[in-house]
Amino acid sequence: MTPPLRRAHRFIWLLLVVALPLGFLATRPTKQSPWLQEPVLPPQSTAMPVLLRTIDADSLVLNLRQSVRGTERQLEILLKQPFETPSAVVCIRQEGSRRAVGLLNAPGLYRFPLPTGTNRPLVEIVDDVHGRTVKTVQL
Amino acid sequence: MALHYSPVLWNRQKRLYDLTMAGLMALYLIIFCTLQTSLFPPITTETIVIRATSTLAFLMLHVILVIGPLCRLDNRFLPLLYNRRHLGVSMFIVAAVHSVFSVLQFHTRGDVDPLVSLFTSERQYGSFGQFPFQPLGFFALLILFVMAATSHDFWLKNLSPRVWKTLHMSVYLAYALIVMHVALGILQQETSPVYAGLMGVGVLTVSGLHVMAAFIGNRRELHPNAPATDGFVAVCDVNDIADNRAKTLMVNGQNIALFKYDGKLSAVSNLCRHQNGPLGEGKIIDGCITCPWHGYQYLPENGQSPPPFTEKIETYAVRCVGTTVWVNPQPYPPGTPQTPALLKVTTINDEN
Amino acid sequence: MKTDHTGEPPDFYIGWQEKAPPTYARPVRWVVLLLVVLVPAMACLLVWQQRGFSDAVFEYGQLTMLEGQLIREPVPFLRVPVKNSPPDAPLFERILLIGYGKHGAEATIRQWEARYGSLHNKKIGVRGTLIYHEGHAALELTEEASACRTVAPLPPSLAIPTTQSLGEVTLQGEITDPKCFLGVMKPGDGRPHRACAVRCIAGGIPPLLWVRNGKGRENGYVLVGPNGERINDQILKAVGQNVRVRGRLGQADNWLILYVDAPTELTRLRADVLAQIALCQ
Repeated sequence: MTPPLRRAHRFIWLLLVVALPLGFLATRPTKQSPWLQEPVLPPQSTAMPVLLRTIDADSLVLNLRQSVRGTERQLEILLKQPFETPSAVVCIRQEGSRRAVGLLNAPGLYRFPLPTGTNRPLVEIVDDVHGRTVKTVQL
Repeated sequence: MALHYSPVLWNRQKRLYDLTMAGLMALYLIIFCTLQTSLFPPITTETIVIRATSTLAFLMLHVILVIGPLCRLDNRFLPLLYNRRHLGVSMFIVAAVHSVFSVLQFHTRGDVDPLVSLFTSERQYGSFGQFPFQPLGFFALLILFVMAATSHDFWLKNLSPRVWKTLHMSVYLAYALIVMHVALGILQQETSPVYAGLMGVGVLTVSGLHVMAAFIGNRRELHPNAPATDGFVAVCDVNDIADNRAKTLMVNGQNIALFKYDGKLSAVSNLCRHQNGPLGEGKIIDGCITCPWHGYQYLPENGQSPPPFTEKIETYAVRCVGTTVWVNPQPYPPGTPQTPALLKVTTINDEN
Repeated sequence: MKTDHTGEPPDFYIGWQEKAPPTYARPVRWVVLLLVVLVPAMACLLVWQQRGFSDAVFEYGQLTMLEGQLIREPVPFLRVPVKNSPPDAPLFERILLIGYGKHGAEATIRQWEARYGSLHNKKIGVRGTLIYHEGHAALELTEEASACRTVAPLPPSLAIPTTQSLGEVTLQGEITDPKCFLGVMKPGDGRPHRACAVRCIAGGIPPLLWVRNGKGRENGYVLVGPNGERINDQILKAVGQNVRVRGRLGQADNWLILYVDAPTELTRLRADVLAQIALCQ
């Protein structure tokens, strides 16, 4: 290597040995952590006061609630981990028929009114788009 | 050395070098892709390709960049330098795959041309922390492309070693661009300290070795500053030069290699005609000065490559008075025969 | 390294010779051994230390047929009736419609209308590729003009859709493009993806504000102007960045729409501000 090129090498690396670590460090504080906030969910109906049963089923917690008089029942679902499906419809299977009561989307708390006379509902989470049941819980 | 241009002049060591390189590259890609798909099954194929090739290219660039200073610090690493060009071209190909996949992934099928998108999607050119990182990668790839395209000896000869070397020194700019491309890009998302730590170690290793080599490497040269007598400058004692070896001199701005062999002394340019390699760190083999970088050879008496090769380097007049060696730093045109100085007791008057 | 009295090594390396002298071969062997250890170690470390990828799904190569009502405003949806929902309180779920490539669905819908006439108050059958993540689903109109397979009059059961107002909110999160974020790319957010998100939103894909609480709760909000107009061009500079947005939140079946008060005044959150707030918290 010619002496001028060698001198150029030396100059370049004296410059880079300072500039590169500085440039690298300068980008560190600009690293953006995700801005955290509690996501806003659509408002849900008020929880009925009497908790009849609770079942923790991995990604969701199901509560069967009823009114003070015991005439109305409510299904409360705490969705901890959403289903990776295009659709998650909450269905109640009773006496051989299936009835959709609501949809699960983002993680959070959901409450759905249950048909009158629902006692021990078989709750099914159905992917309506693919037409398959993704979870079944006997409450 | 070659009389005719051919894509690659294969020999055993080049084959070994390339096989080792290809094996290590394949090993990296196999491990990276297999682990990636097994540890992170949701990942897309495009992301695997983009990440596997980018990390491999960056790793290869670090290896490439430490070879030069390692050789200057200890010439036992010279076998790593011998076929470094193949390593460089391979690294460019890997980087090109990364770039093509990234452009296809992020910039095609949009409302503007992919290249326009590359430069205009992010517009915070006035911000340091938010500076668009993809154009940095584009310019780095452009530099690597020019280097890969001109890597053959055809370009080396036609551009001249000085221009070629200067051109290929732009790899340092490419390295700086890539470091910032990584720091402003993926390191903003992959925030593991291991990523930042590895990057820091890489940058400090490369730049530290280069700075070390820049200072320690210079210590091998002699800088005689005695006044000239009849154009000749006393440069060293003859016993300081090993047989079939040389001393490297810087006299009046001339970079000279002074060889001792067969009871004689000859001085030629220290710059190999091939890549300006340091001939003074070479050795006389089969009567020829042999360059330590790629084994180019020259006859010490006339600076000419042995027939049928045609490379020529500048020669210098040498005298030996007592045990003191005198060199005239006025170069003779490349290939000019010079009478070697004989190792016997003479006086300046004897020579005149 | 062994040297003679002048400091020169006894051996000399020449690349074109068959073998390198042992003085040179030995250290090079060590370097190769080091690389044999280092290369797999680097591959393992770099993969292992990644932050991970979402479970979002893009059903690439698999076309799905869906039937429902085409919604054009504020952004294109297919409103699909939920099976087995009670006739007195029918349920619907919306699938966001997205064009092929980095384009919104509008151009494709115009092609459909050129072929079938106005699709207002029609029930259409659309075939496309599903994209879904965290309770949000979209359909890429992969076949573009041919994606609309059937057109029929709207049955009375498909009631006129309404958007329920949920009041004023201020939300903070990253503006993403739903196509990539909901499954087409991984990662479909953050800095490396920012340019792609800009391209997608510039191409007409509705912007989606993604809000996280850092503990597993996340939700997305489609961003439109105060009157439901598209604001894609106005927010391009903020795409892929953390922003604070104020506006009126509306619920359209299973999607939330944020009618942004003043899209030009999106507050881009700077890292130092973020750090200060994080410290205070």
